[in-house]
Amino acid sequence: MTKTTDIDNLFAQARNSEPYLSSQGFVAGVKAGLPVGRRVSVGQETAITIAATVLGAAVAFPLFPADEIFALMPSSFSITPVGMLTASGLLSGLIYWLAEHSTSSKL
Amino acid sequence: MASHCHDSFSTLVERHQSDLRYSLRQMTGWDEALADDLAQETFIKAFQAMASYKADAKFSTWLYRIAYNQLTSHFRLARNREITGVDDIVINTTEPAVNGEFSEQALHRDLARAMEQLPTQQRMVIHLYLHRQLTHQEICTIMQIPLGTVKTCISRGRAQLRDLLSSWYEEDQA
Repeated sequence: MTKTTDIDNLFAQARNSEPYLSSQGFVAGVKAGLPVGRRVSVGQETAITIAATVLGAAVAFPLFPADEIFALMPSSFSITPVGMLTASGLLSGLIYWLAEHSTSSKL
Repeated sequence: MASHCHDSFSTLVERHQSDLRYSLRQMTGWDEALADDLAQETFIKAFQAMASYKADAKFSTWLYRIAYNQLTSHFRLARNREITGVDDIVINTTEPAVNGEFSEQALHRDLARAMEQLPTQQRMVIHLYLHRQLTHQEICTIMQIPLGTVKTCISRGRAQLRDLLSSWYEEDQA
């Protein structure tokens, strides 16, 4: 290859001598990075989930001791001022933690 | 089905990978690892966006558009300066001359190193025009820039490369 005087000729020399870069390894790397396709569509997946939930509920319903659980529920409910303060404190703490957590995850 | 898609896409990768990887080496100062990483990301993005590809455009044009976006976002992230002073930089040939002969590898590397001194946009325009021999209009489509900008980039880029690659002219000037 000899020296040239014109920039266009220099590029022409580069173009004519452009090496072919072996695809070995590169194509495999690209293939490994490709997202795996969904085996079922979103609609099918939703339908299967709903059907399974309904079937599960139908099977479990006769076995579920609903009357016994309802009987355990208190008919009246009272809360003391200290209990109310504790509950509001816990709720505020939870809200603060959630707010902090969502801010740090965005960063 | 996914496997079939991957296999078909692999054929496209096989067909275009060498050109794209070479172009990206020219764009990155012959940084082989970086160029291959960018090429790989380009192909993965192309696969993900395949639904938006319109068959009336050449696949390579569309691919270069994605590659250019990858390149600019890489340099933006790396906080690469868009304008580099070129007055005092002259690219020395990487391999010594033997009886006036220069290796092809030296030419490719020197071109890439000289191109590295140009702003990213100018670099891409020069490569697409002088090396890939695309038309002004094709370059406008790939880079989404006006025709006037393409012409200016070519004219300025040519002038700067002449200075940067002056060592390739020494023999003829003597």
